[in-house]
Amino acid sequence: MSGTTIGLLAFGGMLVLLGLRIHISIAMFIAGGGIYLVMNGGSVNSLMFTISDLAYARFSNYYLSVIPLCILMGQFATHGGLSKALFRAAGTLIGHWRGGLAMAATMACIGFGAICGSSIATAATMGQIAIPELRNHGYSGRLSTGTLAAGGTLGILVPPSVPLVVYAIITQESIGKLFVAAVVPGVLAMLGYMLVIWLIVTRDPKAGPAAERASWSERVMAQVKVIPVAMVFLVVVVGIYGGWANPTEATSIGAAACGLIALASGGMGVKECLKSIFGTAVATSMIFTVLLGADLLNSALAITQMPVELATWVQTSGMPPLLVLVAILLIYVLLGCVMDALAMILLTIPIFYPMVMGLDFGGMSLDDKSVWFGILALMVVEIGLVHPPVGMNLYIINKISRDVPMKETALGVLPFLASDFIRIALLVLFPIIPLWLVHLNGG
Amino acid sequence: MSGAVGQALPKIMERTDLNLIERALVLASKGFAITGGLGFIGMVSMSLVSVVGRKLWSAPINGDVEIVQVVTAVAAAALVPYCTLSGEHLKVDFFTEHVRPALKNKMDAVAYALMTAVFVLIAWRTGLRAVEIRDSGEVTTLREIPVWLPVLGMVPSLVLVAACSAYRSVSLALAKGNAS
Repeated sequence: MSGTTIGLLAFGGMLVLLGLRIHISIAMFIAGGGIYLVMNGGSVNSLMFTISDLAYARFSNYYLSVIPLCILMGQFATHGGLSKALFRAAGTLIGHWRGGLAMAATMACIGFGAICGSSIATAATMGQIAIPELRNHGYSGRLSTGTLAAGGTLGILVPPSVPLVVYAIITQESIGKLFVAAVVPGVLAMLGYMLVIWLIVTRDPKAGPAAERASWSERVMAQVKVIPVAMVFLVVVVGIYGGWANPTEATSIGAAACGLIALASGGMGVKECLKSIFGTAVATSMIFTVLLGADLLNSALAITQMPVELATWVQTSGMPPLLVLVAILLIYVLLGCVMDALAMILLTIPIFYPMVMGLDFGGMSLDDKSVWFGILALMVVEIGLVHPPVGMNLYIINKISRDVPMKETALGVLPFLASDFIRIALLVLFPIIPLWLVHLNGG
Repeated sequence: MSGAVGQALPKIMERTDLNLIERALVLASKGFAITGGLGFIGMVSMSLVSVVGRKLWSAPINGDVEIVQVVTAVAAAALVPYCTLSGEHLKVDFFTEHVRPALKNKMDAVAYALMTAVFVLIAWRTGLRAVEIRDSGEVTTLREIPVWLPVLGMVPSLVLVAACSAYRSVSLALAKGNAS
């Protein structure tokens, strides 16, 4: 049996295990272990040798520390009352437009995403603040919940972003470059969502009535309160890219700043601090254990040569590179129906990444291709958060707004999904959109 | 996350009717998580000192990268038992959504039994590795921290993960199935 056959069989076996409710990390571990045993003719020595180093080698990776720090920063941010300040800051500016408060919620989501690397946390935190406010102002249930479920995805689109860090670690890409590349697509996503809201309220003015106009002094006061958010974002993104702090240091500064803001706002007592730690424990461990399994599986797959052979096969098959890319992105959308975003990235990047790297997209450099694909992958896996049946953001938002039925939320999110697909198509056709800011910095 | 959807066991962290074993596991996993969390908060402080020191006085903390690596390894491992005992590890729920709860519990019991086996294996091998490294006398480059210490520091957490998943496996196997 050839290495590739063994690799494919193990991969298939792992998918069966996943279907049988075996944890993703353990299924990957078993598949990886299986490959080691078969490739070594049943001898356990090489497997045992690899496992001996597995835990320490993985957990002591320097850049991995960015993940818990990012999560901790988000946890602190949720207790700091910043979500409310962000929503008010945007609301005083454009709340008097028709649909303006929903647009303000989208803007607040991008602001919160800039200090929090998780979509679920962004949807939950912003949802709690914005949905009651939108409903009080007479916004339709469908528009309110749809806006917040979609807006929540800005949490991982806008740096810092946990899935981007995971992508960077498995592909050895620069975290800084990926963060910078995600900025323009993130802003595009926000503008796209605002456009969707405008279209909805133009067709149906009752869905999003205009609120009262705020006075200039109110506006200025509200903006002042969000200065800390802007500072944190600048420190993290500009700090990393400007080269005066590495990702671990920059996220440390961000986490410290969010912690201090939370302390100053009075929202952070011992109870909240413990909650933040336990929340960080859960979110970090989920990722780290899957990484552990992924490590064993990936080193096993490397022995079988399967990823390289698949990549060569795709490369020499004569299929148009763009078609291959679109097929990969569609696979992600489908996988998003059954799997969590991070699990998808960990499971598939080792196989898809060499494929994409081997294809020629108009002479794009390897470095550019790697950053571009990272952003594209992030955008498609993020879609899985908002489309039925397992879109986590839908569940979260539905829990918050009890008076809006799940079906309404699912329908409400559809127009936003359309804007997601249009944006992804733009990014596929014009790689320069994410890349120009990277190039601007000489990257 | 998908692990949180459709949980069959009542949440152990919120229950008040714990028996002795459960109380011990909850206390231990919470204690480990808090220690790990404080480790990360400590790391935040050190990075701040290092970055400010480097910028203002060109004097970063010597070997800060090594310290981060060592602390991350031990602290991150300490977070895992809490996640395990809470039953929050990622899995795919989609294909078994409509399976009878009793059968689902049995499947989950098997899943946690496998997890126990895997973590016993990892804990055992990591422990052996720590002994090996101690004998070879390997230290980190700048601060000369003996590497076997953090490697050994992960073992209690890995053992506790195994204990937590063993507990979940047994309680899911015994669950009546209508608990959800």
